[in-house]
Amino acid sequence: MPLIRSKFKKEKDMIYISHLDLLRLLERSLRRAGIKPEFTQGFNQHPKISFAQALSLGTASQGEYVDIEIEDDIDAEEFKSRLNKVLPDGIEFVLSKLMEGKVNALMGEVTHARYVICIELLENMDKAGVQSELDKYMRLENIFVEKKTKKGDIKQLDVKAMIRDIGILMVEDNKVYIGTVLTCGSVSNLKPELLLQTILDNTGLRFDVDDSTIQRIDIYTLRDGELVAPM
Amino acid sequence: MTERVNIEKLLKKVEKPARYIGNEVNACKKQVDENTVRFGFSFPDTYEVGMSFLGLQILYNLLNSMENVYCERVFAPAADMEKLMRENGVPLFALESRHPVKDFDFLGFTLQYELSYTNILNMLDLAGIPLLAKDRTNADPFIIVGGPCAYNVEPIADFTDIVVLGEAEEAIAEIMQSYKEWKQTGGGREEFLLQIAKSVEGVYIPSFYEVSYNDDLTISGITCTRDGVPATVSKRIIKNMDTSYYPDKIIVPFIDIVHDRIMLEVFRGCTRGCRFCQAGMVYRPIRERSMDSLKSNLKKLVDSTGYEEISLSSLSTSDYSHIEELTEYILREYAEKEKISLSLPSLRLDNFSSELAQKIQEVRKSGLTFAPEAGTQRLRDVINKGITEENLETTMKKAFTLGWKNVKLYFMIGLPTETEEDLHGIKVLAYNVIDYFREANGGKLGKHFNVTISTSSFVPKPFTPFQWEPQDGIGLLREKQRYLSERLRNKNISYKYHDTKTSFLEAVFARGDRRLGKVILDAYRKGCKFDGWEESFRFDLWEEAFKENEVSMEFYANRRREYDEILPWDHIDTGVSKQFLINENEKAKRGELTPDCRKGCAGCGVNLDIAGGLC
Repeated sequence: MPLIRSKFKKEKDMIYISHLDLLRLLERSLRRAGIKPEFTQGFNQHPKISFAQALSLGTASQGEYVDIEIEDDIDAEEFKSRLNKVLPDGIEFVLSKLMEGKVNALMGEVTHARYVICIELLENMDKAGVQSELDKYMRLENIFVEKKTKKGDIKQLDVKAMIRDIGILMVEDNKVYIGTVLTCGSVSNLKPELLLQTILDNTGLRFDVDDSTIQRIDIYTLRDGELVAPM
Repeated sequence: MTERVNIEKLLKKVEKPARYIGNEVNACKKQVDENTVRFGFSFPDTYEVGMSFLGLQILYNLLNSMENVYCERVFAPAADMEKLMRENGVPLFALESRHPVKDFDFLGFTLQYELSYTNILNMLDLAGIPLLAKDRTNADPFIIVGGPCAYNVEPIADFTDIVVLGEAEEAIAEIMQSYKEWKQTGGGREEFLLQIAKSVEGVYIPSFYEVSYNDDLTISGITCTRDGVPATVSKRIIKNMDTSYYPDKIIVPFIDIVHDRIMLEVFRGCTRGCRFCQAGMVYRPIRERSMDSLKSNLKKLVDSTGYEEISLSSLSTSDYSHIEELTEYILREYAEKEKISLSLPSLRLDNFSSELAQKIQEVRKSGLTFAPEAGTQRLRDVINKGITEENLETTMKKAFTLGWKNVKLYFMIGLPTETEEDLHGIKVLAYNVIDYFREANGGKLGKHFNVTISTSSFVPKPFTPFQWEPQDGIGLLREKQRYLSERLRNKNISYKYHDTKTSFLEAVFARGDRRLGKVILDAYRKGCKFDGWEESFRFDLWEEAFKENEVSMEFYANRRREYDEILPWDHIDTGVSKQFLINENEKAKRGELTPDCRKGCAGCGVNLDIAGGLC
């Protein structure tokens, strides 16, 4: 059956719908767009839709990916434009491509994600000051953070190796824009919220993690030392 | 110009922020100018509960189909959001525009259950609107209410400007028209209220009626105080379901709500005449939609929503004249071709066809639900639930042969004339079901077989044959629940029951009068809200509020009323005559059945005036 891989944006108010909500929205949007998806077999049939990586509630993204298997051959451009017509403001398909041959599952491929994070400092600081705090942070040999395991135990986690890249993009009044590439996926996954917690714990920067704005820019597979986007 | 409230920072800190964002598929967006009549359709509960209500979808789309009217949705924020709103000075807002509802022309509350009254007060307070109708000015919206509890709105009469009785589709359009005219004249609030009280059938303005009391606190009279306003207000009905408004699109929520599917209304009214059932009495007469109209409407709803599930929504859906044809049509056109499943709520035992259920079963495996309501034939006859033990046996056995493993049986405890024998009957039925299952499965029970017995406590409701009956006291109801839970201990049986205090308070409000207004206000001020939610229900605060106001709860819930007592809702006419209700109550005492009125008119009276020969 034809499989179409698409890249889409999730922004504005749509950052407040969960991963499951998004799945339901896509199922219903396909029906409204008159596109018939392939269904799984068995007791509880559902459309064959698979995402690359779930996005946290409240996080915007410019680079989300989804594979959708469809019943009939349909032009990828047509697929994209029909869906965009029925999707709510804030979700937009930007690229769709018919995949040929054997396709690896998106989810298994993802290793990294790039984010832009905006924090609001509670006390003003110039760019040099922020930079020196962040340099100090990156010089740390270990960056430990407490994390709850699924069993409910508290575990010390070293996130240092999970940060591939981090830097200041811009400082504007009390707003600091940080660009970063973190591990993402089933092998290793660092949530940007947790990264912010470690910055708060290990630097003199004072801010409210909940008031920060997080945007995912894209997701990648690390292949021969290069970060490669899924399409 | 009104400004949008800023909730960006709040949304990041609350559970399920999508409750507050609007922007769903099929939500209405309109340009607003000074001529726009702004209507806030308010549901006094959370988004997930309110969005599951079909009436909201109908009236929302109807109002938005009108020129110069913009209807938006308003829900009760959950506790976490409310706290942040109060801390940040964010007033109650409508989902679509995020404008404060204080600036609206109307705030319309739907009254689906009695225990939502404190939420109405909390929402008004959060909006910055005076709680008491008499304190409101031209700067405030009109508070308009409707829905089942509006038939006895007296407990919240003090907070209400306008009540619409019955089906609102036509009345609301007439009210909007009158409002536009009144707004041009620049008159006072009372002039508008007077205008619609006189000209719009189904409109009841509580402040135009005075209630006086006897020494024993029963009512001595209800007097209309304005000339030209009807002394008795009649409910409104839609005469033709095929030509009346029905939306082609409904809002599709992003988050999971209680009823997340297309709800296709098949008919209104019910012909069964169960004597405890308010809906069965007040929604008379029966009016069906034609197959053609249902088919074309369903297609539009499926196309516009993309929903994966359809349910047929009516009081007793399987009574629809063309039920087999309709379900076959849906299964053929949607289940097989489009993978859209069908669910049928409220199946009745006596005409339940297992062939039909099996067809539905092919698409979705769900449990079977039945409502015998009472444990013995004698008590089922008293309440006019025409189901026999044989019905139950045949249907269950068939269902079990077809592979069902889950059955839910609904009962009521505390029904008039109930004795231990009737409770014992519930136990007998439960164990019989186990035997039926064993019989159908070669003597084996298996791991997954389960019978759920669920009991609710009888709440006497206005406009029913049991409106004069006392409710059992809390202690007695608890005793009955204990009796059952001791006898229903079995690994294949789960027994569930409702909280008795909740049912008690519900009974107080259901048949309450205006003396309850100050109690509700005080209870709200003490912190009562979301009373229908177990985790936030504070019965102790309610008891305090009643005590301080020297109002007895038992007076309303546990007292037998005489037929000649003036009831708080005697100035409201649902079309069903009081004499019919008295006759039915007398027949109940004798255990006499009244047949389904599809099989012959029972003479309830609705056909004489309100229905005008419809049935």
